[in-house]
Amino acid sequence: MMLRHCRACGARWIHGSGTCPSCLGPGKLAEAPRRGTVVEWSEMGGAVFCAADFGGVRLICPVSSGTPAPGRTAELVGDGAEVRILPDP
Amino acid sequence: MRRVAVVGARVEKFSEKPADPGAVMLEASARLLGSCKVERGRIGAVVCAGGRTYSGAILSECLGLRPGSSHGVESMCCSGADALVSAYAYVASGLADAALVAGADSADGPGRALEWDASRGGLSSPLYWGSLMTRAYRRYSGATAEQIAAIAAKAHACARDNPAALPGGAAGARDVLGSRPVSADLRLLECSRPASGGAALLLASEELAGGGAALVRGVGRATTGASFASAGRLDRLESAELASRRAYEAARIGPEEVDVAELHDAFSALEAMAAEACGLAPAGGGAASLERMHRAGQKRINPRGGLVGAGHPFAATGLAQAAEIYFQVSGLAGRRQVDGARTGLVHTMAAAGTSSSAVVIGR
Repeated sequence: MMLRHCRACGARWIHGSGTCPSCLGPGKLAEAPRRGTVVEWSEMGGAVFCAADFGGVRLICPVSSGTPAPGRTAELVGDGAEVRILPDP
Repeated sequence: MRRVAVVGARVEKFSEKPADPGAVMLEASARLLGSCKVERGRIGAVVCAGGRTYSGAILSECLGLRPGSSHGVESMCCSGADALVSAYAYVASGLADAALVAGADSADGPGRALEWDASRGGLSSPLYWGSLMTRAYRRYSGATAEQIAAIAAKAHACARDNPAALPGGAAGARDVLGSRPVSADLRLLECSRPASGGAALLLASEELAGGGAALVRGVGRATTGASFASAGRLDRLESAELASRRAYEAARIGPEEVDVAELHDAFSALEAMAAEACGLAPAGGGAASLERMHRAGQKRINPRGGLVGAGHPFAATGLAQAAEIYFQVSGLAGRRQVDGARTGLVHTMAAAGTSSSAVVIGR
């Protein structure tokens, strides 16, 4: 999963613009943090999905395994198209 | 700024069948202009929501108008309300003495999902964010499934008195709870239905409209972003809070003075969230408040059935809402009439609540 990252102010964003929405400086592509925090979840047609925050960027992701709940850790798997929910420590 | 009056409004019947938005917009506009006394030569602006490219100029030519300004407005589900705001601005600023605003959409029209938004991954349907927001709202407010179903039942009950609504049968809360689950958090009868439909309003300076006309007393707009990543908390509608506050300030009223409201219920839980955001229900108490309203048979919120009951022709929805508030404050709402309605609020939102428009219409 690739995000844009601003080296000047540290902001991250997902849309394709190369301009930082925070300081208008240049952004560069960078790997998203592999782990984020579940904000909310639901299920449709037997497929579980969640909203999770990855370093300030909130994504909707299919859940490949684990039981989501707000505050739990979601980890990107594979190319970042899905997440697995890690058990509480 | 000049005071702006609503001279008239027209809503075309919603349908589940595909339709040509340009033709629906023309029909609504022609019927409206035929019923209004404002000379067509005084219409200095034509603003459209939906339809084809260059829709404002096309509609103008079809109606025999030669306005100074004609253009379209596109902002997903806010398109109609934003076209109204633009038309208001033309008249309030003096750029036009009168402005025609029209919107229409087809039930099979494009534009339901914001493909640009990479933060939705492959899950671009509004059903995904609708499910997440419904669950988040219930978690925050403690609203029960029965309360959310009662909000939907209120919508379907109100729609039966709306001749422009999509056809639908009686649906009580039990019917809603028994309808097909769309997700773990949404049932079919709690979701707005795509529709073909259109609406048009004619605005004019108060001087041109004459005394006693309903006025656009305030408008407010708020954009917090475009993507789901920027939608803020999932259990509240920040853009609706901001937009309604701005509209109230412009109208110099508080929410307690709103007699009737049209709120954007893309999904039933969002009606409760919008009621809270617009100050029409206490924080966390929107669902309970609307459930009580349903049980008491009150129609103060979404008297035409909302998007869930009446249908959702995307680009036209905001204008159909505004037309309803105009009808209500003018005593023209027929069986839907809210007794004593003098001041009404229109709230429309787009793309998971990343933007909202609010308009206060009153006498």
